[in-house]
Amino acid sequence: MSLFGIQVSVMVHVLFGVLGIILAVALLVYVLNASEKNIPTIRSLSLWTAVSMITSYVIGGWWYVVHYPAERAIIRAGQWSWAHTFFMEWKEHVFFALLFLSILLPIIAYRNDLMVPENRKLLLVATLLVVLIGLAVDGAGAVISRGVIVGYMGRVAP
Amino acid sequence: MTSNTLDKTTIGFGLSVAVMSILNALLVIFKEMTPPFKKAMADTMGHHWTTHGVVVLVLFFALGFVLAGAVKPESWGAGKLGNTILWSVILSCAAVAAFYLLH
Repeated sequence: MSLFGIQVSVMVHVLFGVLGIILAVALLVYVLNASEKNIPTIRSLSLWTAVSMITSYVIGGWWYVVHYPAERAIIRAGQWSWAHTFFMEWKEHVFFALLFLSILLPIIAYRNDLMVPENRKLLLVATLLVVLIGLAVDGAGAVISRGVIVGYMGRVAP
Repeated sequence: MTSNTLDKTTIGFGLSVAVMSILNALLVIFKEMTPPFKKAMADTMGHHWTTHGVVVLVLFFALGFVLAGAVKPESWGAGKLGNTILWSVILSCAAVAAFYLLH
């Protein structure tokens, strides 16, 4: 794959991750304002949040296994080696909890009566966790990207 | 008509999220503390993270379906399930963070 393709693919991974967070925030708002009329929207949002997070996981996972080792070497040789040893290590493993929660969202939304406040509260808890973990791994991704730049800066102007 | 009882699949997969979040954190710590095990995971599917992902995802779905068939809906209310998921996910994320901070 070309350098352009490699960079675009990691951006698509981020794009779907951010889209998943935005959809989850929209889901939170709809669940907090639930009515018989917006139940179909809640169900649809829960499904598309899961689809977006799964897509982000598949693309990001492929990129991590195939293309990340080159960037990891640059990060680890630089002054921000902790961008890999803490942030990437944390991100790549906590993403599984995010994935489990994302898959759970449509199961809760489609298979339960959302006019029951307790059921909506369960959906809120799962959605809130998706948003918070999503933002945390997104931030970790930003630190990792800066880690690459800091690594290159060390090479150009030590 | 409203139903206060949670669907069995929801309970099964909700509990699977809680259990697998903790197991995922334990697997992270165990593989990092046991280099031969991490190498065996890497040898199995080409990268330790690929093997890790396949293992936890297969277990997540298997456990979800098994628990969905085994649980009694009356013993797991939405509030109790929500608290179980919330604290297990927080604990697992914190455990992985603490491990890499100290490792």
